[in-house]
Amino acid sequence: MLAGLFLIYLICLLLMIWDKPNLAFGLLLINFILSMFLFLPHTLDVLNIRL
Amino acid sequence: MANFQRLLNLLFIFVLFLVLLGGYIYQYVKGVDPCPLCLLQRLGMVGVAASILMNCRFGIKPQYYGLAILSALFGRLFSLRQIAMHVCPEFPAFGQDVLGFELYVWAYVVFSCSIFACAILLILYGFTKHKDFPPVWGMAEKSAFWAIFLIAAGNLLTTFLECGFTACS
Repeated sequence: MLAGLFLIYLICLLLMIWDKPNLAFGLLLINFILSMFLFLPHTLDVLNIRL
Repeated sequence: MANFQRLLNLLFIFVLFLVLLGGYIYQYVKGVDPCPLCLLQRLGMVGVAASILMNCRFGIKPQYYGLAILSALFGRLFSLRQIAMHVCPEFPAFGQDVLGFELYVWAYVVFSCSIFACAILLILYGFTKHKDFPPVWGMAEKSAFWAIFLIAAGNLLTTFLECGFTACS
């Protein structure tokens, strides 16, 4: 799963080479949101929130 | 002014590349496998570098700086999490220290400096008269791209070998 996030970054970099700014930007943003949600327990712990 | 901003963007990318490369060298020289939180911090650094690279590839735009700040905040969150885990005296630090600090403390410093650098670059952008930066894709930009591409590919490979398809947590 964590490796998948690195893979998405590689795809973003390839999209930059293929001159697709909007797709690359969108994918970078999705990757950020995905990372935050995938590691939600850690994120909540930092914010001192217990579910 | 435009060339100065391009130069700062390139410098920013190369500094992040050197930090990531340093982490890699540390991993192999000291033989310390990175923990899941360390990998998340590397993910954040690659994210910052990729966002700043967008400025080099497609011309400088504030939304790319915004994305870099988000990635830096993401990485900073996880380095803070790791600092908080090891801050108690009876809880041993993870790995060996570099120049008196553990790597996750350095990661926190790098992310904080990244946010500071983005703020300065945004201020410089705000003071620029002609905001339509044509993209420049020269030798230096291509080198920065391949440096980040190779470090991201290397991290993908080592993360996959260490964690497989799991969340690694």
